[in-house]
Amino acid sequence: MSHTENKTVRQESPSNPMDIKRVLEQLSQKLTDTDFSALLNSLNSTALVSMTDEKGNIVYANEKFVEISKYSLPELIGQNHRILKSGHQRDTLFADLWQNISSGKIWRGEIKNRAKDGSYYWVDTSIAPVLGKDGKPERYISVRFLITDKKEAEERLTSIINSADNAIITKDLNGNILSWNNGAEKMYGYAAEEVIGKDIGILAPAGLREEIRFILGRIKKGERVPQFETKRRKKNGTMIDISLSISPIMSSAGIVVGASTIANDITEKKVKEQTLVGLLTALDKTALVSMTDHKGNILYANPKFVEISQYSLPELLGQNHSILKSGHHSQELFKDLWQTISGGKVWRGEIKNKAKDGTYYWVDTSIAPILGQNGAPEKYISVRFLITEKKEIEQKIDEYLNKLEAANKDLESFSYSVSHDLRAPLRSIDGFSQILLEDYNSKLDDDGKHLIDVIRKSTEHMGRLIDELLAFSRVGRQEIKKELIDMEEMVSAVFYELKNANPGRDIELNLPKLPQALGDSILVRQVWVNLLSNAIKFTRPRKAAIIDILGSKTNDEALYAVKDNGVGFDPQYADKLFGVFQRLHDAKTFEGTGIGLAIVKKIITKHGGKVWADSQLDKGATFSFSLPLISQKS
Amino acid sequence: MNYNETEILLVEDNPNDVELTLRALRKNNLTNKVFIVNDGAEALEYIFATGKYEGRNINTPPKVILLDLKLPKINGIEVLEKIKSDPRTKMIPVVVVTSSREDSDLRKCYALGVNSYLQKPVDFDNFVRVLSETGLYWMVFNQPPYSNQQ
Repeated sequence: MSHTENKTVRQESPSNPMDIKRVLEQLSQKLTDTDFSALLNSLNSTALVSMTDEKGNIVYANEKFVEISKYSLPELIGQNHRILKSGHQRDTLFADLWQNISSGKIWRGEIKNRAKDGSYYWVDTSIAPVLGKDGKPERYISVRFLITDKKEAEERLTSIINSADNAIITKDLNGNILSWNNGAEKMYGYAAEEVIGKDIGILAPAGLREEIRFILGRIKKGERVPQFETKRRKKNGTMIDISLSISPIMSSAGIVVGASTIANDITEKKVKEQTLVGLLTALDKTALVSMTDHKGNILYANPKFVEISQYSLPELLGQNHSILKSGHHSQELFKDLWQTISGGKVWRGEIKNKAKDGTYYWVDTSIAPILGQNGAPEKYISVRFLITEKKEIEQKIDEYLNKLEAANKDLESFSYSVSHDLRAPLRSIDGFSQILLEDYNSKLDDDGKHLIDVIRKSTEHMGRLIDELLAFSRVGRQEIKKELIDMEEMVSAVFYELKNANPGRDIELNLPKLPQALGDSILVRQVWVNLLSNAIKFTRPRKAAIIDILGSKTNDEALYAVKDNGVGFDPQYADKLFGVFQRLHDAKTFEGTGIGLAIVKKIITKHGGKVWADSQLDKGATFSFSLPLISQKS
Repeated sequence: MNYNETEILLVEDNPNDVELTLRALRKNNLTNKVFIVNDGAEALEYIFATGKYEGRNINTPPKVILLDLKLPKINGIEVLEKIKSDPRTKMIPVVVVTSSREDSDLRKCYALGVNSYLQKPVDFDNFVRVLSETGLYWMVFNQPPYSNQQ
């Protein structure tokens, strides 16, 4: 509050009181008494007039004074004039006042007083000493004009100026700073006291002093300097980017007396601008950038666009963008494109274009509309990234996929043919050797019959090989349909089926509680069939076969195992077990095709699980597998 | 042979399988009214009384057609489709007898309305059993949808 007064204190240069006296004397000579009293009346009606003794104690106050100060006349008389002090002005002001009047000079200035009720009023005050015979002031006569309205307006303006974020500075024509608002303090780091009266040049960086002289030159001619961007130096030496506009200050006589400057700190904006420019530069290097009118006629194309399209810029400008059409895309694509962008939305897609020389290039294209004042797209900006290589790779992948699909089809028809055609001759061999046995029984001796038996046994084995090979290839092609499987129930069903197929065998099954599995029930069943058949087959030399089923569960998978007390295998061949046609036993001891475990592995692998085997020769074998539990609840 | 008296139409291109089939049917004395065609095209001509079989009476259908799938010219699936999509022939019982046990073949045949689907066993004893019993079933036990025209 105490600093809301003008930073520049206006003070009339004190005139010689003798001059006034002379004027008054001259006046009193010319004026009649009536004239004089009229003058006083008029003064009394507009001004606060008072008289104090040499110490400032009030000896007279007119009605206006009483009215404005809100003290009664008896309250005022004899009181020191200090009772009206607002306390809002600096003591130096009053020191200066007393120094002037006590030395016989008239003082004039603006004073803020406080009335009896605590309200404030501003007065333009003139105090003239009345000198005694010794030439020293005996009394002081004060004339005060009420300027509260004007001062309040000034205060409002000052507070507006000070609350502005902009730096608002005034200076005289020599460049000396006259006023300096809070915004200027914040922006440049100097307090008002530090810079008022100093040259504005302190803000200019070394190379820009001339700029300030040049601006002042224009101001002197009464010209306004419209907004421009430049640099200034802060108190701490850092440079800032600012935007300036400078107007001349005219005196009431219309003469240029100074300049007012409004400045904005645009350092941040500049950084953003530079970032944007950097981005655009980088974009310009990597992308094809163009602009068209609302019909697609090219208004601008960057050098990259020119380079890739192989048209020169003059060839492109004014042409419709459709000259680059490759004919590769459907009408619907362009319909969708135009519908999107003419609706004010951004379109993005991959487009194949044709360059001038007839070669093609692919671009990942984004087209953004620029809306006009009526809200409809006026122009379109396109940014295109070259993706020809990517598209070529994609095409190659497509080709490979097609080939792979064809190969799979071939394989399918191959196994189809195998299943049809390989069986037929077997059937003939088996059929006709049987017919031979039936029709020529009397002509064949035992040796001959044995030979025919060998033929039939071989065809039977070959038939099984074909069946299992087909089953193996079917697993590879089959899609798996996962569901929750009650493994205990499945194991027990499979086991009793197999046990019934092996009458006369003593087989014990230990089946504990098993975790549920997530898998294709037909395929998982096949796994149990193969593992349990193996366990039954390889325990044949044992008097009593014991098969233990094991089950456990972790967070993400279920584990199962089939443990038998059979002949086992040499662990060094463990990794060969799961290969197609891999057998560790000769056909005489244990019959088999060598496909069962390969099928097990294929099924488990397809489910995302693992399968492994542990054994010691003659000490039984354990076949284990895991099945992932993904998507299974609880 | 009078092809109007056919009771079993055997569509089979493999002469060995023809011989084995006939031998199986002979077990139940069912061979006397078997008519054999060796490819899909001939099968269709026979069934629809066209081409080589123009003079045949289409209204005297066989009691059953034993149809192999893998056939020269026109495959068994197509033959089945033509039989089952023509109102004049769709009621003739068709038994597919094939080496294949492929799921896709099974599904296609049943979708087209096959009456039965048999896989030819490789093992001759089984083969004889399956074929002779099939013959007996369709010739003796099964009631055809139409009265015997003879």
